[in-house]
Amino acid sequence: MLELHIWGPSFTLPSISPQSLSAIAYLKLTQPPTAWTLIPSSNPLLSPSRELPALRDGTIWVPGFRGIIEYLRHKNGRALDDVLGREERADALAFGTYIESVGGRLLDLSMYLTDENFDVLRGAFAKLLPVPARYYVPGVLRREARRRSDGLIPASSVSATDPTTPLPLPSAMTAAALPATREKILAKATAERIKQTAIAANFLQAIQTRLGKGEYFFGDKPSSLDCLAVGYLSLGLYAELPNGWLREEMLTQHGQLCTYVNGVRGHMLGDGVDVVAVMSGQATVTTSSGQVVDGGLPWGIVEPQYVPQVTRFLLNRAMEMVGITSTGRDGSVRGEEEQTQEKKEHEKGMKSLQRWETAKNMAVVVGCIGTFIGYCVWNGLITMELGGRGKDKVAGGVTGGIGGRDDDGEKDAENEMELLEGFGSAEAILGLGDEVNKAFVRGVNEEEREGKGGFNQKSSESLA
Amino acid sequence: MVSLPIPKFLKTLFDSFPLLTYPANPLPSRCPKFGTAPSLYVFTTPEDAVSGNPSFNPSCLKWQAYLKFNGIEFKTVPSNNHASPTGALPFMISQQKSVSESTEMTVIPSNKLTAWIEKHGYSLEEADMDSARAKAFLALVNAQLRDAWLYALYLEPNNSQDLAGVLYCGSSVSAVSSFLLRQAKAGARQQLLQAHPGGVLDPREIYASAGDALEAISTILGRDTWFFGGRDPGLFDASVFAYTHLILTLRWHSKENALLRAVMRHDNLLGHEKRIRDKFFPEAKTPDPDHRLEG
Repeated sequence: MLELHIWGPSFTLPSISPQSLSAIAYLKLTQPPTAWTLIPSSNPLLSPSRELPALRDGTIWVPGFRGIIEYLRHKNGRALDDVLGREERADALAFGTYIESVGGRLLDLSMYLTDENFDVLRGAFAKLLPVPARYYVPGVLRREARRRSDGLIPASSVSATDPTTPLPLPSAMTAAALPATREKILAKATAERIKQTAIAANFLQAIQTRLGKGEYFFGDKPSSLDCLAVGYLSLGLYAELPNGWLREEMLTQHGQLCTYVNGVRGHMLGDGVDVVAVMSGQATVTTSSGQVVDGGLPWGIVEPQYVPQVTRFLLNRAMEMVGITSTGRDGSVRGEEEQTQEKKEHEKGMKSLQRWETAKNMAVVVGCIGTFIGYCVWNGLITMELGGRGKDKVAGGVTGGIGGRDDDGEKDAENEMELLEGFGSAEAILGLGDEVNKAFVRGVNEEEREGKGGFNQKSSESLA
Repeated sequence: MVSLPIPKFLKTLFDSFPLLTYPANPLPSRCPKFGTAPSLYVFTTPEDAVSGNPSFNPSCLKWQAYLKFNGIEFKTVPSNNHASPTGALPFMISQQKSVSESTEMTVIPSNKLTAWIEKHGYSLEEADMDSARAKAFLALVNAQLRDAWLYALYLEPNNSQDLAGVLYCGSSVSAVSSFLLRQAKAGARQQLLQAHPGGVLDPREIYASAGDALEAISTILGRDTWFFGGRDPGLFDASVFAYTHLILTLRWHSKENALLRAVMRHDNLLGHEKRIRDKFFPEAKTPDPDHRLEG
């Protein structure tokens, strides 16, 4: 059974990401409905390449639209594009790449980088994601979108945060200044809109020219290019966003493309999908009114994984900041490639080089932490804490006369022991000697014993 | 305002030391002189700049080749990104004598070069770059071929040391050049991550998609002389030449030359590269057959 993991559904479409939609269309066209399930996990960290969509076949994970096509070609021995000629296949690849790069950036621009639309998108993500993830994932995606689109649009499309023409501070916004500011914002919005529309028109025109009047891009049979086109265009057409410049441009100027998307949507992406039903695992159940909510897609159930998800996210961020990034760690996908001895050796060399890089990075981090701790010790920050505990002990001794205080003291000491042990294990990770740790703990034990001795003495004295 | 009369003795004093305005100093001799030929600022070595040899940077070479296609006389000047007004090479400085005889200098960044060339070059019978197909295939070159190029040059460990380090990050102080190389590698990784948001870069996948892209480009070239059946080479020819020429001439590390092997598989692309090299860059390095065989 194949599992297709995707970003979850929204806007009545089975997914919120164009790549996921394209992958769904491809599987729906090539696989019988019993052979695969669609899992709206919305968690890219599940797959080793940390990308969605990802296809899982047993233990093998295959990321990305093209990766999935390649894998299914190996598995089934045939692909959707087999019927195409050489030149048509070249066209399919080129236009596919064009849709992915330019179309993808247009969608980024429309969905993530237009402020009012992003607010709506955040709401859509809230329906797909569990509680901790729904707060940070949209932001992460937006950052990615901004990184992708830096070549296409000037920074000004991030309207309010443009540093080149700072808006007056709220305190300076007197009644006289307000209309001028509004005018400025309005003028900028118009300029932005013209620019965006120009980019969109350019892109849509090229696609429409290629499509011509045919039912599909290549004759009367769908191809991988159709999957990509439907994935990207349907999101532009059906996503209901408050600032719908992309949608308007499609509807008013490129009716032919809209007709095409409307026509093929039914059997490539299924009909309307009910987001709530899918996310609660009710999609496979037909409702009493006989209405189908699954849109003709084999939905599966998401296994919730809150804690690992958040932990892995935080770990990834930390690694990213330190500068440790994984490069091609997953080698399991295309294992059947012939490997000559030379190649293997080279790969070994590469790996050792990478390991060396990672080790160097780690050493720098460890060194910095070590220096910091060393500085703390040298500066007396840690001894101060030890001194503080001594004072506690004395205080305990003084008030020890009251019964029941004894227990508390012991508990405190225990807590402290635990704390120290925690500290010790951290030190062990950092590679500091065990001896130090043991000596430390021993010292504490002795102190504790002494403290108890003194305590008992004192209390017995006060009793006497 | 009432003018104060200057006392007699002061007047005689000032008259004996008259105020003199000297003519402006000449510019230092190391200052660039702008002749009538426009200068294109590219990544190149000083020797190659004099002989007009191809730049070692694909986007610079693309424009260099396209200017030559259009028969525009220009000279290349070795430079780097810090010199450019847009932060990226190439850019062009052209000096024109305007009507009023005062010389006028214009700086043209790379995204305005097409318009400038249209105004100043011959009108070529090249393929229409606005056609949907040309746009799509240009996206293929700029996405997949470029990604593989960046990976091969900056992120393969040996290549980045021996090629990228020497070409782009040459500095007499080793600490500076290693820092620059680190910066360049981080930049390349950032670029690659645009297409791989997960942060995992699989070299086999990157090279495989570059191979597919080359296959597609080779297919549309077919047996034609220039792409899209144009009678003269156009911007797309320049874009493809910029990559194929550099991939064929750079001395890749023998075990990190997957890109070279991918280009070698397509005879018509090799022919295309040779045609342009022979016609427009007669003094350029020829791909070294012995080196190719190593892979």
